[in-house]
Parts: sequence; C-alpha cells; structure tokens
Amino acid sequence: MNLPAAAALSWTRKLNRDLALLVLVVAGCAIPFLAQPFHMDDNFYMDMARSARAHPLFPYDTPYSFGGFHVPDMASHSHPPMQAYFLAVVQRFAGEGEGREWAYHLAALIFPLLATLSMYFVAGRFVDRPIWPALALAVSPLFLVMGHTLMTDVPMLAFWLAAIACLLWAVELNRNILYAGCSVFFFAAMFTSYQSAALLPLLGYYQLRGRGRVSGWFWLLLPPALMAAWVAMTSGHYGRLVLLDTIGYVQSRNAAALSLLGTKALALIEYQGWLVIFPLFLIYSCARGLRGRLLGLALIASVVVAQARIPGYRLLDKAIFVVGLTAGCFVFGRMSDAFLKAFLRRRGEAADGSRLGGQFLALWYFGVSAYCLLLFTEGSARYILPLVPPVLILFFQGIERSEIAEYRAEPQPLLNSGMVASGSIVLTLAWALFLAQADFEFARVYPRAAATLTRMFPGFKAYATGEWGFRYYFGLQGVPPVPPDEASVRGGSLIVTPKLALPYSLPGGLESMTSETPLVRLPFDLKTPFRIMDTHVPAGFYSTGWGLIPFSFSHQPLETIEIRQVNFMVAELPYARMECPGGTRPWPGYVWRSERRLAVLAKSGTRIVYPWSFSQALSLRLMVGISGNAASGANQACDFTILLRDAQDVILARHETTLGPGTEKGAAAWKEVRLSLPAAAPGGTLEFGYQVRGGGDLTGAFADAILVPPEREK
Amino acid sequence: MKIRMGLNAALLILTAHCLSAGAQSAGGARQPASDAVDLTARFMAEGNGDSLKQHLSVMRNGRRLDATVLVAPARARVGLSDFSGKYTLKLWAAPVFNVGDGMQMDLALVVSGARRPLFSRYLDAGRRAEDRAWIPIEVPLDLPRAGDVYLEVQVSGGPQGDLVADWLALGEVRLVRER
Repeated sequence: MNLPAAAALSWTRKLNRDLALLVLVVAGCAIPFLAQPFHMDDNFYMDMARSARAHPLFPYDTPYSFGGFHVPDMASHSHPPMQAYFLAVVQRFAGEGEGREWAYHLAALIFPLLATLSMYFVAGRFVDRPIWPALALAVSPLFLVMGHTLMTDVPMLAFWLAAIACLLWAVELNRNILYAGCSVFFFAAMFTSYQSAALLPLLGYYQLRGRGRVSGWFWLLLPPALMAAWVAMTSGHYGRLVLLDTIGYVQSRNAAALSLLGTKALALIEYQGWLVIFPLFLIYSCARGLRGRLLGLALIASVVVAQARIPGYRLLDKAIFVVGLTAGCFVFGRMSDAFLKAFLRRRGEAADGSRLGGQFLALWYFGVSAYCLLLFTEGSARYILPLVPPVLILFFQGIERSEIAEYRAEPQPLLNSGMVASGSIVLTLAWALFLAQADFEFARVYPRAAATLTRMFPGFKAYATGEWGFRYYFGLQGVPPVPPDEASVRGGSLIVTPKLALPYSLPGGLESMTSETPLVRLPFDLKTPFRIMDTHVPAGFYSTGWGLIPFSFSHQPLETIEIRQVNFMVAELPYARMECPGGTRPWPGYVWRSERRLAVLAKSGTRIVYPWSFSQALSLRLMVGISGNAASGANQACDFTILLRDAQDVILARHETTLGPGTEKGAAAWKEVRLSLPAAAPGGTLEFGYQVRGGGDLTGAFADAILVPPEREK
Repeated sequence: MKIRMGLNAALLILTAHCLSAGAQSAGGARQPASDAVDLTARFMAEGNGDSLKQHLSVMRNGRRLDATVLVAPARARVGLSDFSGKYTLKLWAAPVFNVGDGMQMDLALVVSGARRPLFSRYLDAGRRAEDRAWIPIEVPLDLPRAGDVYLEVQVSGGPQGDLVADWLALGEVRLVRER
C-alpha cells in the first residue's frame, strides 16, 4: 500500500484541476438525464416528502398502501427520513407535476458530486493519482444509473464517502474539525439508510489502529447515539419499536435461507462483474496469472454454475451471466487477496500505515458484502454501491504497481497501464451511458401510459394496482391506488394494472366484480433493445426477483398495461331499485356457455333501476341471453329492455331485443347489445327489464356489461 | 410467473397480525384456558377437506385478516372440550366475493352429539352493500364441564341454489372468558 504524505494533497493547482474535472464529468453525465421521469421507488420518497411537509417532526405520520397492503403509518419503512426531508425542501420550491423532474434531479446532483469529490480524497490516502478511482466512480454504470434517481443509494454513498474521507484525513492530520465533519456525514448516512451503522466498526477500527486522537471517539459515537435517540422518540410516538417490524419483515422473507443466500451471493458477484468497471478491463487486470489458465478455469467454473443454476436462460443470457460471474470472481479474488495480505502479512514487511490501509479497504469491502448477503431480502445492484469504492481503489492501485513493473518488463504488455487506466474509464463510461439510456427509456414508459389512459377514457374514475413510476404518473393523472375500503370503488370504474411495475391483486370482493377480459391492453416498447428490468428476459438490475443478470436484450414490449372495468350492473346492484313480481330479486352470478360471463341474472317480470351518476356521453355494451337450459323454453319469447331516463323521466336512450329460445335457430346464443347513452344531468336512471312472454321460468342474463366512451365505440 | 418481489427501499412492513399466520397449531391440542383463545386456524373440515382453506389473507373494507375460509356447502368444527364456564365467542365473518345469490351461515354448539343453534345469518354481498364488509359477531356461550363439545360452522347455498362464489371467511375467531 502506498500512503502518500499529507503534503501530496495540499491545495495545489493540480488538485483544483482534478476537482474541476470531476465536477464537469459528473455534471456532464447527469445533464442528458435531467428530464428522467421518476422511477422505481422515487415515487415512495416523493410520497414521504409530502408527508414530511405536512408533519415535519414525524414525517411517517401518513397512512400508506403498498402492493395492496395498507398500514396506518410509514414508520416501519426500511429507511429513515433524510431523503424525504431533502425532497420535501425541493418540493416546497419546485412544486410537482410532469416536466418538473429536472428540478429534482438538478438538486439531487449534489449527492453524486459529494460522492465523487469525497472519493477523490479517500483515494488520495491509497493511490498516487486519486483522480483515476474518482473518475471511475463517476462513470461506473451502477453509480451513473442510480445517480439519475431520487432513491437513497447515491445519497447514502455520498455521506459514507464524505465520512470516511473526513476520518482518514482527521487521523492523518490530527484535526478536530475533520472529526466533526466525519460525525456530521456519518449521522447523515445513518439518517439516510439504517445499514450505514456499519460505518461505526469500520471507522472505529481505523481510528483505533491509526491511533487517532481521543476526542475522535466522541465524534464517532455521537451519530449512533443521536440515531438511537431518534429511533426511541419515533418508537415512543408510534407506540411500538418501529425497527422491530422492519426486522420482522426481513425475517419473514427468510433473508438468511440457504437458497436465497446463494441467489444473493451470485448476484453480488455478477453485479460487480458488470457494473463497476467494464469487465474486459477487470479480467485483463486481475486474471493474468498462470498465463491465462486462471481465466480459463474461471470461465469453465462459471459455465458449470450457469448450467446448474440457470439452465432455462437463453444462450445469450447465459453468456452475459458467465462473463459477469467470471469478472466478478476476479474482483472477489483480488479483494480476498488484499484481505489476506493485509491481515496475515507479518509485521515489518510493510509500513504500518500501508498495512492499516489494506485492512481498512478489506474490512470495508467484506463488511458491505456481508450485510448485502444477510440483511437484504433479495439481491439488487444498488445495494452493492458502497463496495464500489474499495474495488476501484484496489483496481487502480494494481495499475500503479504494474506501471512500475512495466519499466523493466520485456516484452511490453499488449495493454500497458496507461492504456488500461484510460481505456477502462472510456469504455466504462460508454457502457454506463448505454445502461443509463435503457433505464431512462424504461422510466419514460409510465408518463406515456398515464397520458394514454386519460386520452382514451376521459372522465372515468380509475384506480392503479402497481407501484414505481407507474403509480406516480397515474397518480398525477388522478388515478390513485385502490383505496383501503374497496367498497368505495363504484361500478364503471377502471382498474389499471401493469405487467412489470409490481402489479398486485385486488381484494376478492372487488376482483369478483371486475371484468376478466381487459377493455384495452396497451403494450409499451423501447427504442433500445437493452433491458435492465424485464418480464420476458432475466434482466434484474433492480432485483434478483426478475433475474440473475443485470441486463439483457429483448425486442418485446417492456411493459403492458391492462385496463379492466368494474362491472357497473354487478357493483351497483345493492344500490338499484328492484321490481320483481315473482319475489326473486335479481342476483349477480356467472353464466357458462362456451365461456364464463359475469352477469346479473333475473326472473321474468324483473325491472332493475340503477341511479345514473355519469354526466358524460357513454356507450353501453353488453350481452343478453338465457341462463340454463334455453332449449326448454319452446314457444317462449324473452324480451330485454334497456332505458336511460333523465331526472324528469324523459327517455334519452332505449334498446329492446327479443330472444326466442327453442323456436329460432341460434336464438339461445348470446345477443350483443350496443346502446349510446347521451350526456345527462345527474338524477337520471338506467333501467333494465326482462320479461318472458308465454309463461315459463327461464332466467335472463345481462352479461359482461361495460361502459366506454362513444369514440371508442367507433 | 416471476416472483414479484418488492424493492426493499419502498417496502412497508406489514403489521404483526399479517405475519403471524401459521403460528397457531391446528387440531384440538389441549390449551390452558386463558382470557382469549384464538380458534381461527383450529377448524377441521367435516367431510370434504377441500371445502376448508386456512390462512387466506382476506381484505374487506380496509381490513386484512388471516382467515379460515369455508367453501359452500361446507361444515367445519373446532373442539371446545378443554373449556368450561361462561365465554363469549367473538369473530368476524365476511363473504369473500360479491357475486352469487348469497349464502347461509349457521353456528351451533354440539354437546355430546346434540346440536344447539347459536347464530344464523344470511350473507348476500351481491345484493346488500352492508354485507360487503367484515361483520362482527358475538355469541355468549355456556360451556359444560363434561362431554364432547364442538363449535360447528355450516355454510350452505342461497335461495336460488347457486353455489357460485359462496366462500365464507372467518377471521379472529376468539373464545373470550367472561369475568
């Protein structure tokens, strides 16, 4: 390990130039994506920010629903509210609405900037040219993709790195102000994500072994104490230990189950292989041992794992998996080697400072790996963000070492150190931009989908059964999630369900009244075949629930939105006036013929009068038919009548049709009815009548009734 | 169907009653009498075992309960021989679906083979808005000291004989000792 003297990082022109370059790179990579729609869990933090504005002291004081589950408050969420407070401030000044995303992304640029600049100072303790690891972080695919979201991952990394930078230099320079800075950033990291508590043993180790000043301990222990006080205050407010529910949730998902641990371990390695540095350079830099035999062995092992673990993947996806696993294994190997050298090397072989630096990086890497494996309920690329810095530092340390060796090397290697360093930055940036563009296009699906729904079904009450950006943009269009009391969802309402964005089931009662066949199915395609999440291919950048590789290729639509309707006749039946001379009130049920149809069934002489609350013009479509054995109704005629009346009882629309089961050929089959319902003032009625002429007990069925805008009828 | 895993960052934690499903053992294991005993998961089907489904998460008017569901026609029992004295039977009942011509629910106490009706209710979520909800039921019980004692729930079809979607959910079935 090479720990340059403090003087090496004095405030020089070179330092200014380096920092300016980093700012330019971070800003340059962010500007094309400032308009990125809110994405994945951004929506959740926007909701929490709204709650924080309403209840600043207890920002969780809002009932919430997620995935169809409803909770009275958000206090047992897996993150403390730092990011919510930040977004609350932005909300206050920028407002909300489509087209304002840039203001949020611009404000949130502070986090990648802080992370990259802090990385520079952290790397400055380990390498001669800290600009390389800092630049590599700025262009790393994982950092770049996550940097365009509002989730907590990049803010947490930024605070981590700032806290670490402060501590490393506080110990080196013995400066109290740096300890105080470390304390502030450490608290911010914990107040952003609970897992940042892992910084305590890491920073404490460095402070202990680096013989930092005694007052440093005060600054290190202050953030956990403040955090504990905040948890206690929150728990007191909500009357329960809020973290217990969080832990209970992790336990309920069997996070430590062997099969899940295996999945998370594979994903951990796979993500490192593809999303830190372009894998070609990782492999070239780390896999040169044994004249390429090491690489051959790793490739064969990865192929075996692929065959055992993902036999159903396409060949292309298996190849992606094998490359990622191989590269990731070399990263893991390099970090393990560093660990062994740092902890097992005898004293005296290296300067104590160098040894401590190696131990620190190894503990950092394996500590984060351990909590990714044990604490989280699934694998996700963004979870491994805090272990990217030690990987990059060791990568560039290796390059600096090779650079020295190359002076004496004969012949010169195919790619010398300079080429590897600059090539890795350039190719990684290009690779990162491809993935960021794929993520950007993914995010843009949901504003388009929400606008399409509003255009197709103007004036309809609708509910969304999905999460992520889908929920946010449908919410902006006045389409909320299904309310806790599903009985408040009225007939004719639309249910909008995504295929990808965490769709969830309706409560049984509401589902039973909702059409099985969608009114519309809207596919949304991307311009790029790159996929970082997809239901057709195993791309699981954000979660291993979708697949074990961080990206894939597909030409199929990324997302499909289905729009179904709550059957007006069935849902509103309890509120209808019923006239049934035979005493049998109409009832909702299913009628089977060639297929199952949801219907309101009625006996002869029945009239069902629904209050009509729609003000816009609509088109009513339904099927009328005879339930049961229609052939038994010889010489009988079944009359079906539909009338729309206004509040003054004037008939605005009328449809009459007759079925003659047993007499007319084909009359026992369903008959389609289409009736235009003109716009009407509230107070009218929609009336359905059923009468059997010639006596008999045939049951009539009004099936699959739907209401659509008249223009859709054309 | 791929696993629909929520992302950690946005997952809300379900309350303990949603997660504790399965904690209760089924059957008539001897249970020391306490102030309230949860019987929800202890029902055993009489006859067709498919007519009884346990630990179904049923949501009604904003309330999600870990329920035992009977699919009509069905009869289920839970043993009460370990209890004696004055109790109140408290439970929530709800039709799972809003279609069909309704269903008849009958609660009875069976003591040494003799059936004593406790409670009857016709549930018709298709036509009655108030039945599209969890319905609270409370029945006082005087349990004898000796003999085989069972609580029996029976679900049968509606007046049109239509058994479609006649699923009855029972949640938080508790035996509460009177003081």
